Amino acid sequence: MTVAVATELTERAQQRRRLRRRFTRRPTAVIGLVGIVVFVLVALFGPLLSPDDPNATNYNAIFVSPFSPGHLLGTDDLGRDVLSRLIVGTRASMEAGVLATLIAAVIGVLCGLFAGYYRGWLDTLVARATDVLLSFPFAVLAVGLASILGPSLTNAIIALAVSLIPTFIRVTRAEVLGLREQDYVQAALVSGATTRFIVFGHILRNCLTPLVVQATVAIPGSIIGAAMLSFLGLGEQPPTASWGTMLSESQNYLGQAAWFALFPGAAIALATLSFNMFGDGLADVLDPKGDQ
Amino acid sequence: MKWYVLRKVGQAVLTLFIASVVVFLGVRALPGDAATAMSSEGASPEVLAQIRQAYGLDKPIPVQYFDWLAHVVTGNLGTSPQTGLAVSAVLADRIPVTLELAGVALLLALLISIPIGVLAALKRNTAADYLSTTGSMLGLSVPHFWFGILFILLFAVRLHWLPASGFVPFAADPVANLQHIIMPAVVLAIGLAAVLVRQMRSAMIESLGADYLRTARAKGLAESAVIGKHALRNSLTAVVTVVGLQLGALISGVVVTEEIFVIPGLGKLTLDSVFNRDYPTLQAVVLITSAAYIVVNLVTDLVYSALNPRIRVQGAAT
Repeated sequence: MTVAVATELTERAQQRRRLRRRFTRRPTAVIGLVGIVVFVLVALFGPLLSPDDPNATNYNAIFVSPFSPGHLLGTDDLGRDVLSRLIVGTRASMEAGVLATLIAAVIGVLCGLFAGYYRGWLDTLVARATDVLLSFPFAVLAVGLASILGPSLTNAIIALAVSLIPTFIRVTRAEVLGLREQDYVQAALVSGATTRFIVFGHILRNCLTPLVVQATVAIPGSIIGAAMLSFLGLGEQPPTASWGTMLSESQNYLGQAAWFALFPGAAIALATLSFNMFGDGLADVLDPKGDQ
Repeated sequence: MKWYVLRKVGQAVLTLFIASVVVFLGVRALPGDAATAMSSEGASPEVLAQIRQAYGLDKPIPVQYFDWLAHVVTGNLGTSPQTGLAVSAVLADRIPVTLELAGVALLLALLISIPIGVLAALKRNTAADYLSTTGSMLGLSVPHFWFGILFILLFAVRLHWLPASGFVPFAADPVANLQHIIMPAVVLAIGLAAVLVRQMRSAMIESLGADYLRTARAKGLAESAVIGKHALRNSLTAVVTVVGLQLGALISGVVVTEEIFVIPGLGKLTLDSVFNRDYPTLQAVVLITSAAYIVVNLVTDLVYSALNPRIRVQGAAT
């Protein structure tokens, strides 16, 4: 018995090592991971790292150009330090990306699990609800929410989460439909396991892979989505620093301070690029077909 | 096939019905009652009472809904309290602009992505393949509204090649129309093309390894016919589905692109009506957008099943 457990353990450890090796062989995936760690650390410790008060205006130092002493990335139209605002704004972006994905995943996975497991009227109901949700593109949804609840980052995150739910439902449901016919689920059923145990213990555990891949796609999508909504005035409200609001402020000064439009956009692009590169690598590693 | 089409149409009608209920109730969920929401600010109680009666707001909600639906179906979408214009007239002005923008963007995206995707699949693991993969990764990651600003910065502010913003109708001046539409259309096309290149490449790689391709080669078909007729045609079905799925992203992209380039289309109208609290217009725009989305998805489903008969059989089985 102990021998069996031991070999199983070493097999698992071996498999994990194999996956890790496959992952580290992809330089883009590793670079993506490093990028994510950096952005998450900046989001967590932003206020401590920021060289200046991000909201301190200084009308004697408006549009100081980048690489000036005291202002590495220059100052904006109100003389605020751009680097400090970028650093502090990281949190809003990361929060939007992770929270919107998390909310959507929890709701979407629960709906998908039960719709796929029970089928019948519940499945039909969930399918119709998914269709309706899908018929409102996320910008339209965000616009509607902003007019009912008022524009704010929280409402932007809700709009993003709602628009992500359908994909999580569909991915989970498709997996569950295949898994519920598996022998081990039937065996658990016969041996009298509770529905809760079967659904969460057996089925959910086995559809985690596509869900993780889905999440790595959803996070960068939400980061861009939140920045876009803030850019349009439907997300984070000024004067709070966020990458989207900074970009929208920069639009009025393209003629005099072009670099002001470069930094926030580059920050969004680097963050999403990190997540996308990591996600691509992860999808390849986890996909059994990617072995060749 | 007949049953498949009927079932799909039935589902679309049901979805449309629920979506219209959501839109209808959405306006009722606005802060203040619908009469205050639909009138200009500071309207007198008499005016409010008039609006309530005009819109039948004193009737039960289901009755109100069907009254509203009857108006919508006959093309009466109300008037904007801010401008006094009929919403349907404003929409008739704005919709062609957005259709042109989205159409040109879609065309550009297909023209870019299909050849690149095919090339990447044929020259798998070569420099060309890596270049296209990197390009599509960048296209996916760089937000299109930033592309928009960068394009304005380069082509309008620095080089003075193209106008930074605005719109000229095609009928008024075709050249000026093209000059105004090309930058926003390219910006919209980049994001879409990035997704399509990936789909095209992986679908093409799968087709290239399929048995029917070996058969086609074995029966002595010319290589161009093997690739063009067999592999490409089967890969295009994947692209059709993805275009349908990307429509939501395209609509969201239209909203932000029209805002950046100040194009008087449906997207700009949506945002303006939010910030002006112009609820009749907002309601109409949201309804039209979701209806268009549902119809296009229905068409995509039907085209897809026409291209790929297996779907119909599977659809009937479940």
